[in-house]
Amino acid sequence: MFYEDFRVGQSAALGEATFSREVILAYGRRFDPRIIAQAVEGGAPLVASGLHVAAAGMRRLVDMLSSLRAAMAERGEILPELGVSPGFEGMRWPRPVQEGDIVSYSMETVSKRETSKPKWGLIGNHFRGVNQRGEEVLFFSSVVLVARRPKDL
Amino acid sequence: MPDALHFEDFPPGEVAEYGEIDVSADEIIAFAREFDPQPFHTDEEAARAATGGLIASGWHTCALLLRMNCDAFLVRTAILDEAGVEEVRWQRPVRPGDRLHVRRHTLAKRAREGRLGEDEVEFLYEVVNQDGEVAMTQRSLLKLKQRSQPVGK
Repeated sequence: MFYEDFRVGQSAALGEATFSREVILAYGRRFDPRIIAQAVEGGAPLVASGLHVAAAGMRRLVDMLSSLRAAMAERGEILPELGVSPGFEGMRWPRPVQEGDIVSYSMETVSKRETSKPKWGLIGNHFRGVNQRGEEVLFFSSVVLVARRPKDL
Repeated sequence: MPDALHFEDFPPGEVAEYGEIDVSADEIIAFAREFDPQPFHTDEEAARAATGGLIASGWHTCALLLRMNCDAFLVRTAILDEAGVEEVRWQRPVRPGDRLHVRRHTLAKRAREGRLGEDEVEFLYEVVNQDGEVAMTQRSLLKLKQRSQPVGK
C-alpha cells in the first residue's frame, strides 16, 4: 500500500497469535528471566512479557503487508519501497496475556502527514491487541514512513 | 525478596550504567524471522541496498534492553505493575558486531494519592553502542513497593 491508499479512520484486522506456554518460555529464556523464575515457582499460569505481546503483533502486521505486496506483484504493480518506523508511544497492557490466550491484533489509521521529502508520507496508527474474551491486552500509537505513489502511476 | 529494591532505591536524577550485550548477525536474523521478517532485518543482500547492511528490528533492541534491565535490577525489584512504555525512539540502527549497554536516568517519581505503598517511577533508558552513540531511547513507568510500607497492609 502507498501513502495515498491509507484512509483516516480505517481499521485493518491483522490476524491472531496464540501464546502457548512454550512460546512464552522461549521469549523468557532469551529476554525476560523473570518468566523462567515464575515457571520454576509454578502454581499460577505464565504471563507473557508485554514487549513479547507487542512483537508478536508486529509479526502479524509484517505478514499482512507481505501478502498485500505479493498480490500487487502478481498484478504487475509497482511495489512501494519499505519505510522504517521512528518508534512508538503510549504502550499499555490493560490486562496480562496468560498461557493459552489468543490475541487478535488490529491497526487503525488515525493521521496522515506529508513530509518534506516528496518520496515519503507519515501514517499515524493505533495498534491494539484483544484476547479471546474480547478484552484489550495491548495498545500503542506509532508513526510509520510510507512511500508515496509516484506521480506517473 | 528481603533484599529487593524498592521505590526509595531509585532517587530522581540518578544515572546508572550497566549491561553488555554483543549483537550478532545470526541473532538479528533469528529474532526478525520470528517477529519482524522484513528484508533489511533478515537478508544481508537485500539490506545492503536498503539500509547499508543488516539492521536489527527495533523490537529486538527493545527486547535486548529488557534483558539488560532484568539482569541489572528488574529481577530483584519489588514491582507492583509495569504501568507502560511512554515512548520509544529508534534513533540509530543496531548492526551486527555492535556492543550495547544501558544508561538509565531516573526522571521522576510520584506517590499515588490514597494508595499507600504504591509509587510510580519514570525511567529514561538509553541503549548506547560501542562508539557512545545512542541507538534507542525508552521512557517507561514502573509501580514499585515502598520499603517504609510493609507489604500486605
